[in-house]
Amino acid sequence: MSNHPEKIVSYEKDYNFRFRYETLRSLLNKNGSALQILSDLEADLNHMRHYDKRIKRPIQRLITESLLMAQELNLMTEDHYSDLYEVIFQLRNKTDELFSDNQPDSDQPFVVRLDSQAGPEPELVGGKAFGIWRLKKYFKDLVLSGFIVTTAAYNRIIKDNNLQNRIRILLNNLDVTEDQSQFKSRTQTIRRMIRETTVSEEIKDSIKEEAELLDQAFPCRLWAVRSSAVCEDGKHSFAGQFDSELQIKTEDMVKAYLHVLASRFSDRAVKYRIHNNFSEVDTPMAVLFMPMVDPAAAGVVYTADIKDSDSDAIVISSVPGLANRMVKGEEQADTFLVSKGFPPTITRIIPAAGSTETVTDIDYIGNDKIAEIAEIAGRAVDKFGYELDIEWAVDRNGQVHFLQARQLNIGATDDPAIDKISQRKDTLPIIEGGMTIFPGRAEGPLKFLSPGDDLSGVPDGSVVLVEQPRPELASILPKIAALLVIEGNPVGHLATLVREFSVPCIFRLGENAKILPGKNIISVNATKRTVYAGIRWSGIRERVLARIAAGNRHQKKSGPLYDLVIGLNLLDPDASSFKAKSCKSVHDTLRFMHEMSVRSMFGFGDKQSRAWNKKSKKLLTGLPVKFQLIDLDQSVDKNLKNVAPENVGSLPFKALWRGISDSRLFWPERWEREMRGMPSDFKETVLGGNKGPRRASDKNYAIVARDYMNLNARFAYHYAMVDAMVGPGTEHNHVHFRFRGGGAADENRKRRARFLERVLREFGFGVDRSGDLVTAWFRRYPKKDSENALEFLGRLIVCARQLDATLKSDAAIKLYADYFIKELFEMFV
Amino acid sequence: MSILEKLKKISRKEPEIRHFCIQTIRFKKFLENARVLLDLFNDGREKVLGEYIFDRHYVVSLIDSVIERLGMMVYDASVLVPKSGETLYAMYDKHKLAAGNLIGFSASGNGGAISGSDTSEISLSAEPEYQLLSDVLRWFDGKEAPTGTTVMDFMKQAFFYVLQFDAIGGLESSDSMKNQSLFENSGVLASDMGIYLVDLWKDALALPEKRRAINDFNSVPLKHLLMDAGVKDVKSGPENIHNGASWVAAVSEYQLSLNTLKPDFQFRLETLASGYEQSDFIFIFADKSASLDSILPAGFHIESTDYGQLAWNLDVSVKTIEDSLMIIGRNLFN
Amino acid sequence: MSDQPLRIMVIDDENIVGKRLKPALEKTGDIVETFEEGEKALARFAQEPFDIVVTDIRMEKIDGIEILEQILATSGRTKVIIITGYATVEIAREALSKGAFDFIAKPFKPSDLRAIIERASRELRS
Repeated sequence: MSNHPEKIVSYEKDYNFRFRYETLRSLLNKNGSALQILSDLEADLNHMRHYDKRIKRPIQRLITESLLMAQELNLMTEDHYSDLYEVIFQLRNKTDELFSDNQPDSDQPFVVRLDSQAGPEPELVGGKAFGIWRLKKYFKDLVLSGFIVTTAAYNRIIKDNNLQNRIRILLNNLDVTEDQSQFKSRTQTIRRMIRETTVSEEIKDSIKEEAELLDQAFPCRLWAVRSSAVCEDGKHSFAGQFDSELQIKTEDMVKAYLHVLASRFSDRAVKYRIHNNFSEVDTPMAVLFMPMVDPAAAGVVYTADIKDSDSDAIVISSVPGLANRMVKGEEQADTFLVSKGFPPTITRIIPAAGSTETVTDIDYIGNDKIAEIAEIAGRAVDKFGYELDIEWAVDRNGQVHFLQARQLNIGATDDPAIDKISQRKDTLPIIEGGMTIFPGRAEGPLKFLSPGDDLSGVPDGSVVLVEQPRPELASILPKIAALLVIEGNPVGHLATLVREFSVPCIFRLGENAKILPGKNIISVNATKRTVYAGIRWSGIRERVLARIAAGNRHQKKSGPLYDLVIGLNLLDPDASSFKAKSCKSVHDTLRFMHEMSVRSMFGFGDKQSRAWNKKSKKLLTGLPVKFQLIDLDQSVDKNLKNVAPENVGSLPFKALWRGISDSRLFWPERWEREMRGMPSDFKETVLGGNKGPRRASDKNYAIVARDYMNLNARFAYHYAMVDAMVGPGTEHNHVHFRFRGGGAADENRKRRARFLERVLREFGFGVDRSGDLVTAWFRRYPKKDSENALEFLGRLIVCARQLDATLKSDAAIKLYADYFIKELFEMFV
Repeated sequence: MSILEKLKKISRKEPEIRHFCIQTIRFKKFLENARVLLDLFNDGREKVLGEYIFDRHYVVSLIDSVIERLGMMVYDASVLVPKSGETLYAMYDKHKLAAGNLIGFSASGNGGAISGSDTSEISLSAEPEYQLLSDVLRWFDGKEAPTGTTVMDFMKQAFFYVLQFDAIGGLESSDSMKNQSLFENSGVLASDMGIYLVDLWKDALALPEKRRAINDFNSVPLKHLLMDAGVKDVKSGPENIHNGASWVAAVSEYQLSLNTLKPDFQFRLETLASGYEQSDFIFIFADKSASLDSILPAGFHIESTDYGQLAWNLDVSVKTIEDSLMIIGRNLFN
Repeated sequence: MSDQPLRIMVIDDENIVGKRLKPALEKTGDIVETFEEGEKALARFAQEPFDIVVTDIRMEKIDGIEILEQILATSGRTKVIIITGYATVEIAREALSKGAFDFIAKPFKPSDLRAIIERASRELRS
């Protein structure tokens, strides 16, 4: 804010200048807030159904801002970009059309009974509960009555406790591969928040009511509380492996409910959803309450033998007592093969104990019961129309109960209960033993890694063998088929990561494992701790590769809304396609308008710019950079053509300059001057490809005022823009940063962008990265923090210039980011 | 069909009405800024009453926000009425100066000292934060403002520059015939009511092909305005000088800009009722002779100035706006 | 609500905050101690932990986040409420993921803070 009357007079004398300046300011301000809206929108689209009203209004607002920016740009350039209007009006009309088929929010019940006549919607009760409801419909007496606390209740709890925002904040920018401990701490926080959250009386009462009703019918007084999540498709049953709470007393029901909800945010579950691109809101959770059965025996039925498509057998696995540990793979089951004929006959029994002797019965469950189960399962298949995976239990009275029914995933079993079937007498494992760190089967070419070996050379889908579990192996976990470790502490860091990444893994294989490197391809059964030579199970390799590919693929977010609003197509301002008419999305128009407004301001051929050039002053500095300044507060005598940094009255500029001129930073151009006498090839080697500014347009321009600055730096092929307002209040303070790098191969540029993103986030900026364009903002912080942010940016701009040559691998990104954060600037040479 | 393809299809000639649409949307922005400004005053008044805990930082932020918003309003005004830009900016700069003084002045340690440390009751008016806030509120809207005009006075002046009730150029030409012919030629006359209907976002793209009806429009505020109005009602009223309608309504889903085209009765209603953040507002402008109390429901703040009358409601919940529109519509068109 | 009064600590380097909050929060019979210096507050907390701590996030000499971390390290059950001058997402994220119970932005009415404290005390009891 100006305190000198003379300045007001100078404005009045030059109103046109003032108007242009204000127009630019207005446009840049709108750009800043538009980008913020865009970023929030993107986060929201992960959380809300796309055509939710709450999405519509920000989009409309965004387009309005965009239209007014277009008007401003045209005011600056005498209507040079009137094509923009058509584009923007079109975008608005198209998005309006998308919203015209709306899904209204309706009043859904919080609780639904399993025995309700009308079928509940799968979105309301989750896939699991829906399956059980169907089962009960067909087999009334086999399925106990229970009830489901619906996704509507879940949504309500989230809303009442404002958890959505809090969860969204914590899940934002979660990069699983780059920072494990941060990932874990965040998911832990979410789980804690959910477990401790408040459930409204309405929901509690509904639960209590149902509990009381059922209590009367089944006075066992203990409950099984299970998750029933809504997943995109039934195939992803793995995503549904959340915790169940068993043997819950009635008074603890709500607490158990919250615990089950919290399990939705287990590390594994969150990671799974991230890898498979499931949005949080499309996977709300319902919870199923059923009275506990006190089982004499329990287990799982697979109505088809997935190992052997020729076989006509139904596979029933069983354990005495509860089956939950068996289902998790923690307990071995007894297995029955039952022929599908009529009546069903047991053809073979494979006991858990592992003996290969023929066994005719198992002590805790009669063969007749098994046959009964098989028969009912067969009927269930007829009713459902597809093969099933059914959880069953037989209580102390001999009554059979079905607890759960899902579609059987043919060809997707890493299920330990099935493994017994695949055992062939003729092939023996070459190694047996060790400790299962993570179960499952995998096969692939063997790769032995010594400490110091380059990890980037490990091919996708290998089975990796190492002597010790070193933490740096984490970086290859997403792409290998299995991990074998000769020694190893099963509770160490790598073990945790292995489990996070679901990589079949055995530790403590022992010295014998050293024979493995002689083999080409090996098959690993981490569940049973056996290793075989050659390919053993068909189909496994494909599945493993698919799993790896799914993890590596960065699925493009998609949908008409993304295309019209968020997607950025216009990346290269120097391309001939960088025109108003090429803008396909709102983001494109913002990008375009920003670029054009800056160009207009600083000339590049535009005759209006010469007026600006006359007013600009050269910044005096010993650094090898050229800066032209336009000081609106005109604190320096207007007849002087040059100005020293300490005489520039702009607070934000001063702060940025402190960063740029930090004495710890290195400038290769400085060296160049010093090396003028050296042979050119030597210079080339030392300095790398950067020979300094090449073009006249490589000047850097800044408009400054006391509390404002807009700077555009173009050097070699890089472009950095800093727009900042640092005033006494915080409300309107902002630091906006845009960086687009050039001059190197695509991969390297992207790496530099990732480096910038990482470092900026660490400092506290909000960041948006599209390809090699990075946009960041730091808004509404007090003066001191904003100044620090600007100094930080100053140093960053200088360091980032050389990086595209240096960042040769993904691992280097984290390395250099750490260097920068620790202020080890000498590494950036 | 991609956007590019669609663009090729559409005729090169842009509809004349596009400029009108863009300016109406710009005016919407101007009013949104005005409403935020009024809210800021209100917020300050609320905080000074004594219940709140705030610090000097809050007051400085408040001043900062007011100057920022005022600047945005002035900018919008200079786009809408370029001729008044220079004057408005000159006045704005004076207010900037005043704001700077308020901050600088109080930082140098003025303001009452806190009374004796052994008392538990703090005399609020002696607290420097409260003193500063009171000063700020006087600058906003008080009787003896330091710069001569209060911010509020400046705002009102800006409004009327833009609306040009006292003639020169602007949103509506003093030559009402010219505007009327624009609407007539654009074919936006409603078939079922004597009113010109402009779809702000669609019409800017392409002129309508067929005659439109009120029912074709998906505009929430328009629906509420005309809820009780019959077909004949809109046509009747003070005589039309020319054929065609005497009202124009420019709308979008949540926006309504209603204006008369009559030379003798000036009435303008502007509203946005989207439920989104701080953008909603409802403002009415009328000439001095209009009897606003009989048209507007309770809850509206009416101010009379040399230029005309100005009214608004600070309660901008969607429900209130919609209810108000129904009442206003009934009063206007019966 | 309950028999035991809550022990509440308020930390803010702006004198007026403690002065206003103390009487407002004591109305319900809770015990309130106010501090303008983070170091002193932490020393007091180490002597005797409090149930609830309300602290400004940005103070000249010591950061509210640091205070949050130290308090939770001393007494995991204490509920910490952050006061911010302006609520930004970045602050919220950092505070929440480090274990803050909730936050409130200035200017606020003592009764609003009271509501948050009540929610916190309910969780303390459960």
